[in-house]
Amino acid sequence: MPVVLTAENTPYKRSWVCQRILNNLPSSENARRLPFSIAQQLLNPIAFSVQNTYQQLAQSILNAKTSSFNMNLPSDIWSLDISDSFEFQESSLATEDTTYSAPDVTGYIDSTAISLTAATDNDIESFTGNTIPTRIEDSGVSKSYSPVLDFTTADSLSSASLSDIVVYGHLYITVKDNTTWRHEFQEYVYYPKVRITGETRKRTEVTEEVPIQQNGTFKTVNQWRSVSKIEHYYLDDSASICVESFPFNAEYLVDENNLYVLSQDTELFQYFDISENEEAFYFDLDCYVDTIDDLNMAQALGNHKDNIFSLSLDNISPWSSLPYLVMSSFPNLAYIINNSGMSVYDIRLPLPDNSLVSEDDPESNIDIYSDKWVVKYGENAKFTTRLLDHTNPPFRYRMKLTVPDGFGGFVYYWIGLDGSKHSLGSTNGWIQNERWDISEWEDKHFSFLVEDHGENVLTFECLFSDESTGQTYTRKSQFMFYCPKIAAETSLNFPDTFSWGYEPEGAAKDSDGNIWLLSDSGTVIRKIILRYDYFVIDYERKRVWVREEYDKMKVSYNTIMI
Amino acid sequence: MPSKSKSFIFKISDISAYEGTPTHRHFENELDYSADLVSIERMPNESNADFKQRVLDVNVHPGGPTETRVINGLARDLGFLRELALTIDVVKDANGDPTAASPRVLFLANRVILYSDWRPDGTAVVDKEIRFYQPDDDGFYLNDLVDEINSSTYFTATINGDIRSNLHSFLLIREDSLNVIFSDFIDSKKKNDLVGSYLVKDGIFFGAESVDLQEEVTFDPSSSGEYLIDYTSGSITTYEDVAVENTVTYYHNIFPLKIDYTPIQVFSLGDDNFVDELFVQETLQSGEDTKTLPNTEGSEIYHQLFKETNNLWGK
Repeated sequence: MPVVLTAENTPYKRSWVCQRILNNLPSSENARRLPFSIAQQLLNPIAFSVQNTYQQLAQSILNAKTSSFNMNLPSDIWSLDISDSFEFQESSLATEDTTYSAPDVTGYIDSTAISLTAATDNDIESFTGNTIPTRIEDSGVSKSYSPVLDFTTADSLSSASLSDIVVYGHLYITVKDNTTWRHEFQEYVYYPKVRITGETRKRTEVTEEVPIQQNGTFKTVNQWRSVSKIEHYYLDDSASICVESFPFNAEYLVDENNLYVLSQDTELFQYFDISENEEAFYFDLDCYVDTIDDLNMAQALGNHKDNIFSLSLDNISPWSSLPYLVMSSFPNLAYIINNSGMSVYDIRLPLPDNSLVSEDDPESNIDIYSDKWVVKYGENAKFTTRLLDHTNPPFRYRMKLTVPDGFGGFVYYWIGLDGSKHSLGSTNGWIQNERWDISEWEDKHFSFLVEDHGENVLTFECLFSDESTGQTYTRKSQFMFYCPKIAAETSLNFPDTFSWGYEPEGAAKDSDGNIWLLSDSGTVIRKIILRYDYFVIDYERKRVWVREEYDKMKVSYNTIMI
Repeated sequence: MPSKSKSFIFKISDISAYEGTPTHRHFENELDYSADLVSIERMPNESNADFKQRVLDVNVHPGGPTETRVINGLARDLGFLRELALTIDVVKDANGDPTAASPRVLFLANRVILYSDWRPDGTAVVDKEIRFYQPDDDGFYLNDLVDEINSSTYFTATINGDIRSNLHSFLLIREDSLNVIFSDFIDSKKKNDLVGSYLVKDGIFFGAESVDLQEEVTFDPSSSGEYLIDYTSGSITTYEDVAVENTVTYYHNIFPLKIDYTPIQVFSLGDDNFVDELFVQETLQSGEDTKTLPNTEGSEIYHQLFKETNNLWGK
């Protein structure tokens, strides 16, 4: 006896799209209102497909809108109305308009006084947009931590146990020791990939496939709440995989805010890592790009990397081990975390002072150049000279290096062809053109060690002889190269609640922008909160605006300007 | 300003000072504008991270006029996103198949019904019926409900570790493990994996007569026309490749069944299961059961409704 599907025995779900379509029928049609009419039963599966597509589209629009949002933007501010009797002090700078000098503003949290910093130029944008933290607070939140999948060889992945996700968000897949990146079978080509199935943070069931084209750390597109299955395809059996909530195992961190744009209009991801510069006793922040030009790839940097520039980090002395790097996308900040606290650096490549290099004489027929104008401390800078008019070669030449002395002045050296440096007083630096006798010139290639930060200017000077007059004259060409060193915007200590001698074993940022520190042999993570103690004053309305919450605030003039 | 140069500075004690308590003000940022597009407002003191999750929830748990969607909308607007509360699974034998013949779990407004054998032909063997909505009482807490489900032979339940176990069970969102899939495809191959798993016995209907789908067997098909259904994983195996592509409409269950919770709950007075909880059941002299006298909770609700709505009696 066949069973008939009826309203009584079927949990019949109708899509709202179904009714929308049916509403186009004439009002007299029964199909418009009878859920078990043939028309409705035929339309309903199609309507569900349309509904799903609509929902996915709406969801992806919302995702796109929210994923580009800067999570660090303030959403709450606090204000204090000052009594009318309080008088702001006028600034002693004589201008036609009345200008005030900012008072001292102090916030109190549990009777601990915190001195606030005035926003630059009392400007609302620098008040809300200043992203340099002024204080580290212990959130009091610490969790026991384990990777979702600890390092496992690919062949034992199916039997490996998965841990819960401790902090919901993106996942990082680290692949090591894989050697085969392309499998060919008949006319097909297969590439390795890792597939993660689970529930996203906003609670939809999804499967994400991450292509793996090199050893490195890859970030998932989705944010996750739970993972039910991790599979791999076409990885070597001996390759090891780790999946975790934080990129603790990543050798390089992606700069999510910037792409490196080549002259051919190709865009590449930029990556950063921190290394110790043995020449300079500085830590260097190294920027690389991936030489595999494929933006469809997940974010990773493996064996194919090119160093773009390195920044020496001032204010941070070498420690027994490398500090930890956390990148911030909005804006470009690097948080360098060591055993006692955190230093914040603006990692945009600083602009050198171009005025230190003079423009070449238009009649100059000599040139000096290099492939690289941003160099790393301790690197060998390479140069080549060029003579544009070989009919009249110079009979002498010399190279002078001008470097900053660190106190606003300059130090000068003659550079020998062997890369040696000589002080100006010891010699006049001239080198004889060895082919002068046969009236020829051979371009010189030389290199020397970069031992000074800042703007280095190399001057190439040639001495010519005018045969018609018998007089000599010189021509100069200059090349500036830059060895950048950046100072910390601020250095903050860990709060007192961190026990003495607290040494983090790793640091990383979660998907909401919070910084977590790893400790206890990699088994505990604790969250720190960055605070921004800035104020801006509305002198007209006598109101002080602040970005953090304080129990009490005090506005006063403890100093008087004369 | 500190950056301006001054001739000199000297310090004296407070010449003028004001102390006070700052007032909180909301500062709109880009996320508020995006949220405005989906009619979500930020809660007081709500962080960007939490607010973003609430904005994204709009498409995951949409609001609307049906009971569940009213719950979705209210819960989201009030800042109580749906949380996973319970996971109910079937007890399996050594082969990985459910021990129950054809299990189904149905969450209603006032009770959960665990069927050990439910089929569309009217067969409905109830393993357990747990009435968790208790009038004039706290009713079942989640842990009570889980204990009760776990005492069943055929089902197990676990509480999500992130939520309190002493929540009222009537705050669970109504769910049914049963689902119908219309017109899943059967391709021209020997084994067809269907979209759904935990298929319901006697609830599988092929779209057309097929020579390859004549007789269901419980072993590997050994002759043409025989087919084997794996009810647990949801697959159909035939003796040979299916000659003509076909469709199948089938009932199946979703296990493990995940039940959400939110502090916001909506009950319908048109729902018999809920109305059961508002009236005292009496048996008349004639032997007929009647529910005409509201209990304490029922009276309160009805008084409130009469007060709030403009009821006109008569014609």
